[in-house]
Amino acid sequence: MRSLLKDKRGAEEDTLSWIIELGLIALLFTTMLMLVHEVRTSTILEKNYLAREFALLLDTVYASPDSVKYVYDGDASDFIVAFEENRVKVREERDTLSKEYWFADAGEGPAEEELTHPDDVVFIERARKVIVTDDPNANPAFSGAGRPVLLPANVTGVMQYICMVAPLYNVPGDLMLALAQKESGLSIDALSGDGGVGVFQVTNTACDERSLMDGRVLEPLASWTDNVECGIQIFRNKCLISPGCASGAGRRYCCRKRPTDSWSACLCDSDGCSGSIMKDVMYTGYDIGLRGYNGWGCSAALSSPAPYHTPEVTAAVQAYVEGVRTYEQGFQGTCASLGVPG
Amino acid sequence: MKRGNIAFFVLMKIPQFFFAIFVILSILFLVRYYMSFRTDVRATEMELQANRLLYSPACLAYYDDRLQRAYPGVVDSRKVNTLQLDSCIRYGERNDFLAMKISLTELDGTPLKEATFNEPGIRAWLPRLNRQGPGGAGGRQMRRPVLYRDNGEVIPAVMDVLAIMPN
Repeated sequence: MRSLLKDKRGAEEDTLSWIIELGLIALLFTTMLMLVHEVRTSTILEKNYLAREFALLLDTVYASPDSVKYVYDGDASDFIVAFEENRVKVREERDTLSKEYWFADAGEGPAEEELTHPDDVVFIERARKVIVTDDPNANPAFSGAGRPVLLPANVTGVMQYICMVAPLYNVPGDLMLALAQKESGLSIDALSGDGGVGVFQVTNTACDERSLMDGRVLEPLASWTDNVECGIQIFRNKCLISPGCASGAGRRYCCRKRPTDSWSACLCDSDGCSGSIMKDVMYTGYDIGLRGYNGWGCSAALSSPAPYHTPEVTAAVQAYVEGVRTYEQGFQGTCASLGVPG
Repeated sequence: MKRGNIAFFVLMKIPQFFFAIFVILSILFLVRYYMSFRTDVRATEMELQANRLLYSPACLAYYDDRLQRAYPGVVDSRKVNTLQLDSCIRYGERNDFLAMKISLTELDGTPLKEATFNEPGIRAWLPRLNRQGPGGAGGRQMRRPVLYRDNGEVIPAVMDVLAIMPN
């Protein structure tokens, strides 16, 4: 009807109307195409997804009861995947910001790696540490050197750790605190002239037994936590030597001195010589372990460098057990107050 | 057609133009509203970390030193303490992500031991548990049958885990 009624002016308006409407439709269509293009090229979802995927995978690998190697079979080759500071960060090269998600390590430091367009992502867990690599044939050696510490290296952290480890070896936590205080003043950086290192002044490069915490080989000179556990382990082992700390039997500590001898010539065993007895004590219980920890000698070892052969050092050596016991009085109930009944 | 008429005609089309813009924006808004770029894995993460407590010898799983193997599901009583938990699941220097409260009970309900992972987190988020929006927190209660190993004695037990993550 409209076409029948329209005149020349009406036909012009109709044409113009069509042009404007076509323009609007073109605008709508172009906008939709732009939206589709944006969705097609956007990788926000992929990056979010991959960050979470890798973070949860890492958490799972860290939870493994034993060593594990896992090769991720998804595709992350379009992205740069960085593992740093307990975060998985996924981005494209053109991006300035990454999509990230957090993961939890197992106390030995987080996995740190950046993989650029990886064809494979491989997770390898051993002894609470995880290595991430893009080499599916990787079989890395895990070195304890430079291993991050388990707890903040402050005195409270050291004390808490001692209290936590001591019960594993069935020894009193408060006594171990006193022993550590005597050995190093609870300092993780302590070094002594006779080669003692760390909190428990351990001189062994390796401990006799693996960790009771997680089965690792302990490296007492590389890690203060290993130093603590190794020291407690050494004490426990000294306690097991007959007569053991739990036996109820005593072991005699007798230091004699020839009047004409120097301080370094103190003898611990009754050697038939005449002269004054400097110290004669029957140690029982944990005192046997403490005496064994410092050695049954009466003075600094002859091989020790100067200035260890002095009357003061010898007196300290002989009073070692009593010194630890004095410290122990001050540490009574400390483990309980730290929330770790040692 | 006179220029004045054209101008009038175009003016008449302005409402139509705005209506078209409104339609376009509505479509864009609806499409974007239903297009999600987020993936919420919090529930999975809470389940995973609760299981980690039982599987990892660095957490609660008993580890036999002679055999050098862990026993998933066997809880070592010596490890049930806050320090152990905080050291076996570490989110870096600050943990603003997850807190857990665990309690072990015998099958008859007798309490055995309790411990928390991320004590500050528990204190901060527990009062805001199940509140929506920023400032709130989501939680997940899980129960696992376990063997509780204490001084060589193995006791059948139940471990309840309350995991909390902030929104």
